[in-house]
Amino acid sequence: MEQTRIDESLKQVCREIAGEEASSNVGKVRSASAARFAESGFPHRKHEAWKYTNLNALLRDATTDEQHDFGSVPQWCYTVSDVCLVFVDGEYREDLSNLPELAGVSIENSRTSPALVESLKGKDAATDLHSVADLALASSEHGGVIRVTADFDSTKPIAVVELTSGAKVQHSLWHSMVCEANSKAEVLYVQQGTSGTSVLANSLLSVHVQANAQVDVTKVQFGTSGTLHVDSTVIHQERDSRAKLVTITTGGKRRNNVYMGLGGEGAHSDLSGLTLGSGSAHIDNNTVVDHTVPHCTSSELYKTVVGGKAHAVFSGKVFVREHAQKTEAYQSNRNILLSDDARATSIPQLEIFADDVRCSHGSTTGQLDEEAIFYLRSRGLSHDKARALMLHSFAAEVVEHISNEHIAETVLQAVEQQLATM
Amino acid sequence: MSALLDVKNLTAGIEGKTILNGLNLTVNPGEVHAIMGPNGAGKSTLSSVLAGREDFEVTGGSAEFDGKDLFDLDPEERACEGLFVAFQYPVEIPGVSTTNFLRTALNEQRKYRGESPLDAMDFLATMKEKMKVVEISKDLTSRSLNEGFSGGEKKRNEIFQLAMLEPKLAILDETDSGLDIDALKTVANGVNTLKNENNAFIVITHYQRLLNYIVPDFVHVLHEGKIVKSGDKSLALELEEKGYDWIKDEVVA
Repeated sequence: MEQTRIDESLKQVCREIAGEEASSNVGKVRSASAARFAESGFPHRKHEAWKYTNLNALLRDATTDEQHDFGSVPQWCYTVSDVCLVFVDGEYREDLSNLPELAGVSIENSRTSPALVESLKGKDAATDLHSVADLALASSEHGGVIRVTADFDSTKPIAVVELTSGAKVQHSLWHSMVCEANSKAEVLYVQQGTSGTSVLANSLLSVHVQANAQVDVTKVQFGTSGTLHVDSTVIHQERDSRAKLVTITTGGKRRNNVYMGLGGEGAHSDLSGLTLGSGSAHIDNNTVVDHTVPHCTSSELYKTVVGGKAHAVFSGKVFVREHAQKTEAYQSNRNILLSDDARATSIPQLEIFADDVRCSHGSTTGQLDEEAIFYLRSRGLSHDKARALMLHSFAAEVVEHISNEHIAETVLQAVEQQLATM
Repeated sequence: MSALLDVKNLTAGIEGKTILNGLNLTVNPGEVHAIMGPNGAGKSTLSSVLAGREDFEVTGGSAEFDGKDLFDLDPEERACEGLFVAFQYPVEIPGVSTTNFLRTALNEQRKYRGESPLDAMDFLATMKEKMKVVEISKDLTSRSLNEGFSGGEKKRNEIFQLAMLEPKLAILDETDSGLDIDALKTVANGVNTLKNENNAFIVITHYQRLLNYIVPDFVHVLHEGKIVKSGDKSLALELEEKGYDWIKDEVVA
């Protein structure tokens, strides 16, 4: 079996962390996660959920570049937000961040902050928290801690920006968020990689949404060839809470893990994703929506446009546990292939153990509808214009899920720019 | 006055099979032509070939549209030159609203003709006016193009597009098929309102019923890929009464 140096050295790091004496809660969580990662390392391809993404293989030629630039924080991240937390190679950059004295948001040490662990409530239910999330729990140095109280009153989202310079072969980050009962908050989470190197950026966002709280998370993931992004989102919802996660990915090499746990009656989850991949992009979205109690609803829509030799994977599992009667769960995956060599792999899975539920899933993969293009041409649109209009509309359906109109507008522009090159 | 459409000895087919077999048709501005014929006569092939559908191959003859060689033009160029086909089966296009699509189409056509694009206000004003013509609701124009539309709504949407784009020549390809009498009247009423001395219509139909409401100047019978008989509107009534068999017999004889 092939093992790269990164995998082995990370296991060694985790072995050491696991050996440290842990007395606090957070210490215990770290230590347990470290022990698990030290045992398993990166997920093996034999693991069904990782069949199409072999981290060891993708990092075989890992190279760093000390001189490399991390680029710059997209200006719009500052303008749409009140709070903007910027991390470069896993380190918090106060000089680039905007963190006013605002109750609820802080940067804390991952080793000691009890707040981080609080967001993981219910994690035991997430039986298959991937080992990469364990790695983030174990080895993150510090991360953003967001506590949203019921009186938190900002119309602007909290922004988290992660940049990679290529100077470090790997880094992990763990951010956590607790949305207290009856609160409402929005998070914009932007990730941008680098080119010319081959490094790993591993991140985890854990969110605990308490009773009747509402949270909107928008992830904007700009693709670059030099960074392998592994991103995990774990959200636990209590009674009557509403959580929305929109993930927009414009390319690169990436694996996204999403776990949505509906653990309180009356909770609603809304997941959507748009993946655009060209060149040799590899984008693997793995989602789990877990209905554990009655009367919850979830809806999931993932769309993909791939060209070149890109490969996109959508693997979406919906669990309806035995007691989760009256569940309504809908899942849809739509893929457009723009070239002969582009691939889309779709693995929808429903596992239903309750008998009084309404669930559906659907998956389609195909080329742009030539009949539709002809129809548009017959009204005066050129072939290119017709194609662009159809791709725009296909993508816009996901972008429209973004609640914040300023973010939606900016994202739509970025999406259009990307589509124009495909 | 020169003809708007002049089709001479047209032969065309699909996958090597000849369907149109020496078709002649001349349409002048201000005229309404009805083309009738039994299933398989070549009605749909005719509209497909004129619209520029790529899977059909023109093997002989010519078609001049407003002085230009029609077969030299791409489908979008034909549209910009003023040709419009109301399709028998309009395509559903999820995510594209009728409004957004029509603004794009209209402005593309204006650009082709060297005109400046309509601004949003003017466009909406035009739309409001034309919506009345075909009795189409705002609800329908804001929805995705044809998606989940009933048969009648799709056909009305075609006529609405026709009203917005103001073509020189409109071909209605079995627009009446599958329509109930109320929808049929709405469609016919739209066409009658839009008809003027500068434009022309070709109404392709299987049934005489539509011609009670859109009165043609000429009726042609299509059989085995060519027009075998032409007359005035009374020919349509005769066909309704006797069916197509007597035409076939007449041709054979």
